[in-house]
Amino acid sequence: MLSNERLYASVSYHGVGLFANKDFKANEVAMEVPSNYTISSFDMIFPYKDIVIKVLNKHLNYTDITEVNLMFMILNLNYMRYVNTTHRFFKFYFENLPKYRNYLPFWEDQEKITLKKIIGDPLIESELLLHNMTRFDMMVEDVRRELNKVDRGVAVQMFTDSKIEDALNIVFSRAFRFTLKGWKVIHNSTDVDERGI
Amino acid sequence: MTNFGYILVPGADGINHESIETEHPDVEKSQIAYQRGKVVIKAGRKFKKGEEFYINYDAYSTIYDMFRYYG
Repeated sequence: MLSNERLYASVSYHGVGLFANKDFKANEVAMEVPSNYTISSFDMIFPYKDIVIKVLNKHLNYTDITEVNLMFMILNLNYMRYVNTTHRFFKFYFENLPKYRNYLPFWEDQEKITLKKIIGDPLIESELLLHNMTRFDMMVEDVRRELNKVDRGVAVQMFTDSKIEDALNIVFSRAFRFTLKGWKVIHNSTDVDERGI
Repeated sequence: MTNFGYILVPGADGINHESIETEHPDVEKSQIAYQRGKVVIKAGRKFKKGEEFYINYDAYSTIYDMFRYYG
């Protein structure tokens, strides 16, 4: 974990940062974080994952696996943050996250209607659709509807627009990209993955 | 298609970014290594005691991602 012997937190040019508490050589280990102190897309934290997979299957024609994994990341993150709050470490972590909202993924209804129309046009390059979050917004609506059917309490606790927006801010500003192979490595299922994507 | 997802690594998420390329060949591709039971952060270059410690996000994220998320 973060050890004062190696690094310490302090005020930096960027607001807050970590500082070396010793001289480091290139390639020297500066920090080790146990896997049970991380949250990822591939964790089995959110209990209704099977229901979400069924919902997301109908979106697979016009989205990609990274966006589906973003949904699982948010579900795991918000379940840990708002529903299963017994983990003392994460409780402390969430209470001390910086509070800012400069990323607004949710589009107006009229824009979503327009986009749904052009999705069906073969002349529209799929790359164009990568430049917005409307597809994700549509997935959110479908997941919320199904989640409301199976557990309305959990849906209200962790899956409101503002809590999803907050989670997106956290993921896009603080999370790292990660592969399923990386998840298997840190959970002792396979060998070292030094690619570290 | 690679199965890309996301991971939050408390502690490591407080490290700021710098564009300087890494010095050591073992950390050229990444300063984050996934090892059995843990995530390891390695120094991409030499750091003096008291200096701010940085990692290079470009190793984990494309310029397109940086633009999309941060503008």
